[in-house]
Amino acid sequence: MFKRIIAVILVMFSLPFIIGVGDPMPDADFVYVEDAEYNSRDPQRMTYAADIRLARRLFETLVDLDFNDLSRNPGAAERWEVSEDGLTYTFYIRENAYWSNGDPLTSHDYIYAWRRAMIPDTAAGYALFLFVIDGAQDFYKYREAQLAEYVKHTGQAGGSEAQARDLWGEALKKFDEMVGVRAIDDKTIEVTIKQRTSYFLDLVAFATYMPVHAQSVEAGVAYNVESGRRLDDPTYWNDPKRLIGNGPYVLKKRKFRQYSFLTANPYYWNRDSLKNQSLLARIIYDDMAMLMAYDQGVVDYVPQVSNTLTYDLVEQRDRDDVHVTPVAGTYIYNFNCLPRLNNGKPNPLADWRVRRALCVAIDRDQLGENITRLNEPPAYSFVPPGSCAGYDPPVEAAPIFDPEAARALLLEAGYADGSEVKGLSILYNTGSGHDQIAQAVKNMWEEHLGVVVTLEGVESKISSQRGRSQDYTIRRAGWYGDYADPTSWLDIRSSKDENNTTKWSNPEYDALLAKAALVEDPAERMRLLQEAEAILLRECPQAVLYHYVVVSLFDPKKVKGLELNAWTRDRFEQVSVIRQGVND
Amino acid sequence: MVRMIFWRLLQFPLILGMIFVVTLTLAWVVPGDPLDTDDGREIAPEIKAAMLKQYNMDAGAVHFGVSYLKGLVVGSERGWPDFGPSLAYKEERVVNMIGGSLPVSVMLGSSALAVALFIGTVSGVIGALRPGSILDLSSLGVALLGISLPNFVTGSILLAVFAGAFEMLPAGGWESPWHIILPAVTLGIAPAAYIARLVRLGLAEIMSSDYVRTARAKGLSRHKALFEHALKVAYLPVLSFMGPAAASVMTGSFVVEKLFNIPGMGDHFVNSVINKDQFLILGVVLTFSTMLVMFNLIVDVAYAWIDPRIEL
Repeated sequence: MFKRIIAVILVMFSLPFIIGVGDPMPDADFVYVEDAEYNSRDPQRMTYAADIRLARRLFETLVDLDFNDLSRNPGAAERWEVSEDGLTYTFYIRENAYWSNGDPLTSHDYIYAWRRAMIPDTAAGYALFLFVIDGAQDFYKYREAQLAEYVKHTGQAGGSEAQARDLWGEALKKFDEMVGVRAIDDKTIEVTIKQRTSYFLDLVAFATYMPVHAQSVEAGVAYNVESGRRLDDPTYWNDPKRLIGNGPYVLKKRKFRQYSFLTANPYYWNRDSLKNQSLLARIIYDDMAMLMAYDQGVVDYVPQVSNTLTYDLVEQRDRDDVHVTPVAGTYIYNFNCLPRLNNGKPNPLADWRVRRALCVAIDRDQLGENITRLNEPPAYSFVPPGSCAGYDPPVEAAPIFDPEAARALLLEAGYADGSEVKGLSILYNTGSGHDQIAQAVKNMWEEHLGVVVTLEGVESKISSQRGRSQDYTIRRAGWYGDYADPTSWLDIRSSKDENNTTKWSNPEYDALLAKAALVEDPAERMRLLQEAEAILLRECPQAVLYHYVVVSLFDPKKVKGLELNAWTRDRFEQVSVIRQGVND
Repeated sequence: MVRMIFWRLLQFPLILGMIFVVTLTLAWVVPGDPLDTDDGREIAPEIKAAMLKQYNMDAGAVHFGVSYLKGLVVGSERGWPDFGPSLAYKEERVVNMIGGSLPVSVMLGSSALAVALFIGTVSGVIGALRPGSILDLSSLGVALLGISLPNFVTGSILLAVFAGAFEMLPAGGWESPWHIILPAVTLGIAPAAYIARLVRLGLAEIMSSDYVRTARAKGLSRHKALFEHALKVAYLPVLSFMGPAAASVMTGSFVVEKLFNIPGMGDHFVNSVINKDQFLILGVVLTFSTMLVMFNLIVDVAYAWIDPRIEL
């Protein structure tokens, strides 16, 4: 009996050696950490910042936005022209631009990719970025109606693949008629936009506008006979053997939740400028494990250290490998601005004076100094200063800490005492230090105004859902810009925007944004946007608390050419790592 | 016995069907929208509608459940069985996610079980051989510690000592057989302690039972009586413990996997719920229940094999 047990145990022990355990990570010129697996490598469907950063390594847009100085540079297009009226853009693709399999990069690839994002079949999260193109939104609606019609006609039984294919054929013809995108020849694209959009080139530099290799993507398309929809083969984007890109790198190998290994694209037009030949993104979920890997020299760069560990690192000020970078994002508390709360009671926050009183009673300096202890810049505007070229936020309109003034505002709103303001609660997603900030802000309000506030920490998805249904009074949020223009922030407070979960609505604000959109002179446009932001800062549909900072780790003596920027869009092409001997 | 196995196999679909319905109901009613991203960006309503349609989630839980079952039983345009896509990782199929991480967890789990069986049996036997001795007391003490210490503590200590201080073993990852040692010990120490107690107590009791005394009286040596006769009986409770222990250990441990950066199943259990990734929730729950039911069957069969008195 004993022998048998021992035999079984021995067999179990030897299994890992017989079958093998995983495989070693590839060696790369530059190794960095991601704290989670990428959610998507499909440029049209991606929405996460980490995915968008990766996409820039695999695909190249026509226009390239340099996030260090916010200049717009030729990307896959060597040049472009803009018509007098600012509505028609013509892009000229480089003659020497190729896909990673050697195929020439053509205007059709771009149009194919953009069309993917303009149909409900793909459900592209950032489709709105393409809706600035003339007819794009109408085409989306057309396709939506077409599919609804298909389902109605074919009924429960479903149609056939041929029917669904024909339907798409019709849509293709319609696309050429409706949408202001056209290939003049294989290397020239002409785009007509709905109305003057001064930041259109920034959009063109965004992931949703990246090209995809039309032929190989189309090869995976299937038609769903029940809904008539086109279905891409999602596994294409994960498969190093099939995925074709036009960026500086290609996906060479990857293991889900372990790593992504990228090597230089031999067909990239600018491959000679690459300072390294391979990148390895190691996916490490645990904060401590991440630091351990960095300390052991297994990784060269930790782009963002988790909030739970940043303070200890920043305290070690003699370390020159700890980098604190202010970034283009703002930490905010949204106020529910509807006249009545979901439970039918009147909402004290509907009065802008109450909202402003709350904003004025927040001592912002305390938050960065004593709560997060990362010395984040206190926020006196929604658009972080310096994040958009040519724009200075109207900080003079912002609420500044002044308990006297806050109480006066409350009195003006009809509350002799703060305790009369009832039913307020801060809703926040737990973790990442949000709890401590909520506690601190609650204390400030109670101390300076006497307003009693409760705290509600929930999971992030529950917080989002309750935000969307206005099932809150005060809710923590954050906002990072997508592109370097004030409208990337200001637009989300316009009445119609789906991100405006505060339901604040100010016709003057909406009008100023609409007016600014059509103004030709950049200086005048910025002035109008400043005017709009001043309204926002005065009426306080949200309390702006601080602008984010990112803490990252890399040794500048070892890692050369890595420039950190406010948009956290690192460029890895220019990075080279000086590796010391193994025994060092 | 064959009839028993046959009947148990027949019950399988019924049990799994019930688990499916309950899981689907729970996964559907928990608050939170799976399509929300962490950065709090709202998706335009028309695009959200298109996404829901893409996932067959636009017409309620029953419609979703039926289409999910259809993919599971007869397959879809993406092959068979189709557990659907992941909602969090847009380009992953749940089948591939489980297919990639289950072998990792099974490997880690079986190594952990080997550790548990080895340490547990050896220290249990030593304790039973010399009850009251220093060896016995210390093995009982270690067993008590093993049961009481949560595995993130054990794991952190092992990491700090063997990876940090001595640099004998890798700190984490899944790259070679060396990477399995620390997590396997961490994961195996608690069941080892449990097994040690079961074996020691069982042996002590059986060694003083009538039939062993008779055997000893007839001249059988103490060692022979223990290893040939008593251990067999004392192992029965260990076996019944092994069924659920194997299922739970082989389907991954979130804590140990996170600590040692191992791409196993444990992460899916926790994160699929946090992400409200309904396809993945159903996938991992169904996989786990299948394994649990299977292991229980195997244990019952092993019981009959060891103890012929037990009729199945």
